Amino acid sequence: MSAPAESPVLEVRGLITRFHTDRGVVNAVNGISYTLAPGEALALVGESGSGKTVAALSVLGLVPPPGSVEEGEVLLHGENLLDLPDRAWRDVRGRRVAMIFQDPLTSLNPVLTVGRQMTEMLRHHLDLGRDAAERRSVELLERVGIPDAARRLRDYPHQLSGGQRQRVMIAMALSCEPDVLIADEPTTALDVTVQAQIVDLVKELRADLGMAVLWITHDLAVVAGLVDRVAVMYAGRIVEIAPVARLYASPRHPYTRGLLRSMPAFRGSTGSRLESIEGAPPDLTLTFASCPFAPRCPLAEDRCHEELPPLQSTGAGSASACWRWGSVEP
Amino acid sequence: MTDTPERVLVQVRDLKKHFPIRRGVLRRQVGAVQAVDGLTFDIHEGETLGLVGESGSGKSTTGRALLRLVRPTAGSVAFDGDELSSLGAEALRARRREMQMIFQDPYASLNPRMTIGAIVREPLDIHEIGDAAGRDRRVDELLERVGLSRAARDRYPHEFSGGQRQRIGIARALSTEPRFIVADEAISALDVSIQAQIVNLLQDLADELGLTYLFIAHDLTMVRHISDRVAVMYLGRIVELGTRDDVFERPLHPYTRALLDAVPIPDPTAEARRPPALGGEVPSPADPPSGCRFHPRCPLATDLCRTKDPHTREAGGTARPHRVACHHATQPE
Repeated sequence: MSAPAESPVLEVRGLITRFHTDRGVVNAVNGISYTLAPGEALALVGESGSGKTVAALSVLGLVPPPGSVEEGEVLLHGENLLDLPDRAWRDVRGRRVAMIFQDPLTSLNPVLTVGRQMTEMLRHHLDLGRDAAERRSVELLERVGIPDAARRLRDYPHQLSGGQRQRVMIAMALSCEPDVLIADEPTTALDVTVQAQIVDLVKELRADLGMAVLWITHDLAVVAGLVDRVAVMYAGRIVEIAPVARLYASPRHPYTRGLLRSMPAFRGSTGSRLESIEGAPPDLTLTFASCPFAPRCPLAEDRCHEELPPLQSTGAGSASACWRWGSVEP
Repeated sequence: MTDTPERVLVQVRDLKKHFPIRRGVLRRQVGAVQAVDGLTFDIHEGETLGLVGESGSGKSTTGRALLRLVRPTAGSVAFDGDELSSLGAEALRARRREMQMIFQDPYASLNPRMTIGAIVREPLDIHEIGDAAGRDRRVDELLERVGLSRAARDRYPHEFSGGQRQRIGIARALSTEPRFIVADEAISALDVSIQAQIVNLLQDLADELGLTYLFIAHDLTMVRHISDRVAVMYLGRIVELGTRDDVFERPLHPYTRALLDAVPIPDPTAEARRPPALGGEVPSPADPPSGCRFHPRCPLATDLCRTKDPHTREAGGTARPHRVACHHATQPE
């Protein structure tokens, strides 16, 4: 991959996260590396069990037990977060790297008003007085497009719609002007018109504030207009990473191609059958000495069943973990 | 799928389903959620009718009311000429064999303590179809038909992946040889690569068995792929209904247009041209807006829309009537 012109705001190197469960060791993240330049937006795309969410939680030290980050580095402006003592993490989370989730209800306290939760966070992180924190909360809610913001501060989370709750989460995430916003499927539970509103909002805020965005999703369509680069994950690994236009126009991994082909076209002719990827993703308690996608891959040859392909450059800032990337048709 | 299905299999007239809102010690009714508020449409034998809408549109309630899993508040549903509300218990049970449902979450709809064989066989037992050996043979056939091995018979639901569980749900729904299947968000919980497998299976089954589907989904891309005709719902009403091409290529209702504009497309160039999102959110079906229910969010709304509920009218249509409920809908640009 070509090095970004500026030094990256976030750099993940060789990250390995495992869960030690009753049924064995689950290899959720199997050595992934990527960089995020200042102001850049990168999508981590994968299906269930691909490790995309664990990869994001690993960045913030939020992997729940029995999981833990076992190897690798997470460098924020060159400083390895994995070496930080617990107290120092509190300064990173929310202030320098903020995260929003699929279901805001699980992150908001149901018995406290929206205003109370916002002002407490602002007072803690920004050392504001009560009145200043309240004024800032109203400004933030207005900034994320919540009408009648001063009154909404007195509402409890359940009184807001799903879209408004996600806007509140975004307002809280932005309050400290973080360098990186991590968004874990923030629109998956929303209706399609509300999803479009939230995507538009994040695009606009990113342009205004210049923050970098790491957007986790299962949906290649949602991020097509939102990010600069896309990394596709399979079985805990990045199998392809490329600038957005190149990834959709000429995928260099058969799994990426399969994902794109299994979505029906929304414009133009409707084909009679969808191209599906046969089989199912592998069990992550296994370790792989060969390509994890080979059993489902239409291009697989002997080598694919014998040797694990590394992520290798395919030119133009792209890379693919496929022995046969040159044979992948667009 | 079939060229011009003519025979009406399911006829729906002015269907309403209101859920009472009760408050206080006496549980007095203080209002009603107008989940479905006056639907009229036909489903033709052999066709797939897509039913789309956002949360609160009433699309799931519609599917349930068609199968009489909920009792409609008003209106009629006729299946192959029989008005369902006038049927006695025994006659309704016989009709039920012909109407089945596939659910969104196959795991929640499969009894975890029953083997796959028993789950698929249960409807045959209930409806007393065939003898014991015949039922066993039928289970094997069904499992094979949906792409599962016979070995699946003696295993339990938790041993299967989401896509395989949906295959089990489909085998069960097919066991009584239904003519009509309501698929309620049947692929929404599945991964993209698995969705395509299940959609292909549903289409193959329709072709082979001449099935009629009501395909309820919020994913417009998949609805466009699978449907012959499409109905768009908003707050308990059908606002637009027409052939797939009329609705997707020549939408008339401003809500349909906004909905289609909001669909993300896996193509960065197309995404760059996507118009800004429709503002606002769907209001509560317990307190729908006056006049046209879409008027608070509608870019075309006038005073007329705030006061007068628009009738459904025919507005052309290429192969079949194209119906729209809007005062201002014009011919597509």
